[in-house]
Amino acid sequence: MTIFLILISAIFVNNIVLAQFLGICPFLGVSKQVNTAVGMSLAVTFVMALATCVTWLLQYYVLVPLNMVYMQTVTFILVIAGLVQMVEIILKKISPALYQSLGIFLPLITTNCAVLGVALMVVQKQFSFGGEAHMLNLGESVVFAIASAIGFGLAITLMAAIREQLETSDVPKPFRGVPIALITAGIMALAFMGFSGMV
Amino acid sequence: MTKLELIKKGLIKDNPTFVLVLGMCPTLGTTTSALNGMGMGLATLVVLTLSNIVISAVARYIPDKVRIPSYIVIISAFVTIIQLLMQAYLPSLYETLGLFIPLIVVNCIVLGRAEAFANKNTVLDSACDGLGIGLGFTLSLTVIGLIREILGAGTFFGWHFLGGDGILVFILAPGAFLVLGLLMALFNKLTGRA
Amino acid sequence: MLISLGGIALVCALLLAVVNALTEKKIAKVQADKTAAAIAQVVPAFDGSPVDTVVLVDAQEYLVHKAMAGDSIVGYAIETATAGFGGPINMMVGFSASGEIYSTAVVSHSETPGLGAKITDGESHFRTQFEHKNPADGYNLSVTKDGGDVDAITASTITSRAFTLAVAKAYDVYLSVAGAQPAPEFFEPQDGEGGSDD
Repeated sequence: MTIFLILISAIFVNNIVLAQFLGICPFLGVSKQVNTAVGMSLAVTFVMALATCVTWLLQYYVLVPLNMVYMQTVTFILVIAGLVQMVEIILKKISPALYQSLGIFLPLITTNCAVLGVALMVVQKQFSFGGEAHMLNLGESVVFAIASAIGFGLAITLMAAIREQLETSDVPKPFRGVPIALITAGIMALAFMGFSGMV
Repeated sequence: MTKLELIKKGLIKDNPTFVLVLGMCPTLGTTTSALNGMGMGLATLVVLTLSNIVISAVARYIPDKVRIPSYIVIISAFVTIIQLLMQAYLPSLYETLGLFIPLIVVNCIVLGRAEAFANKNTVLDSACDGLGIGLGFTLSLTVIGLIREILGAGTFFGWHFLGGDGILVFILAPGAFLVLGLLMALFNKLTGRA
Repeated sequence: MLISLGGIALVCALLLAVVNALTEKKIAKVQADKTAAAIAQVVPAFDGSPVDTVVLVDAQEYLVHKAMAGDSIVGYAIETATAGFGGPINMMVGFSASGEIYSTAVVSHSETPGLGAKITDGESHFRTQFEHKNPADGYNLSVTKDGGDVDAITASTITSRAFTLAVAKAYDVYLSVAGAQPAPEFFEPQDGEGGSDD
């Protein structure tokens, strides 16, 4: 039940892009075509789940016992950068086909603030998900990371589908490019507000 | 370019928000009021200027292969320092900005300036560049925050000039996207970039 | 290559350790001051610093701050957390020695600005309506929509419910700490349906 609530909450109610403003750069930059948007979402899901798992362990088994929580930001970003590199190398060796489709997105993920954002969120904030407020355990954190990534995927794929249509419409000159994308995102955010209060 | 020109170009010509379209997450996420936007802008300005100074000073000693990781370490160290100082001396602002303070690390503006400017210019020029871009960012965030605050809450830098509540949606998430989109179109129109 | 990266990391780590050592005490003090301010806001004037105890109610731990004046207890400040609309709402709920709700303070929340976030406004009717009410006298701690006596904030029923639940939970904790049993004829179950007696 908790898992279900985490999924609903992170995908719809507190959508990481449309309600929490994380990962806006890829949301605006890699949302021109549905294919690339889907590829990006898959890569983000994989890295986000892995990164959250590793940083969660690092927080509770290294930083807290050593009394070095102030190194949180430094270690987390280095872990994420390292993981991204590693995933890239492994993917290249094991599955060149998958590397062909996802590889180009991997370097972009290091600076996707959604990845660092989610990793920090699960160790800094209490969550309630309709029940008692508590810090997430490892399992819940990974589910939360995957759910957040699905939320990111949903937002970016919907955006790409809309932008493919926008290509053919006559947008006033000053609005072309980013401005119209932002206004589209605003209307999407309005629609997503309809989910609020569900969890 | 003189030092003053370096600072000035960040405000309009190379404005990080409206021209370079960088650092969108804090731009949307923290501009619920003019003061919040200004606080976020100033925190970024400090990190950007300090990291620009240090990176321009040490860039030639860093081998190319570990360039990016080294920059990230330097930037995240400054971010943590700002974070600790804000927690100690500006706790309420820190609480409002929340996650967006540590996330300055992944703000493309900071790493972007390190790569595009600081690692091939003198310390003084890099400091000016950091100041200019930082001021441009602060200015944009304050303006966006002010507009959202006036429309959404009926306040001006926290001063209530309206009896009621304002049009709430501008304080909420959709308002952030709409206001920034409209402002960007206006900026394009006025500067003739479109 | 690794030497330079390692060197930079080492210098940065040392620098952070120094800044951390310099700010650690101040940050701890800011936190302590915040708690102290919340306590002072929700109980009558007291002497010295409050006595803290941890109380277990319904398998849930609560931190209770007892405010003393001389040898007698003048009030209880109880920390609670409930699930609001946007996330947890952390609150400090104060009771006077007689068991009436003295005042409330919101310590942290993530409610919608302009809607649920109105719970932070101590001057609002929503917040002041709790003051000087005693659940033992039949004040029903649930929102009017659920048959209680609490007027919810317009368009923020979930937040109002969470806030009210926090006060109700704190009252349970108060009862177990103070041991003051209310007169049985006035005692109502916390999530009872009935309205007030009048």
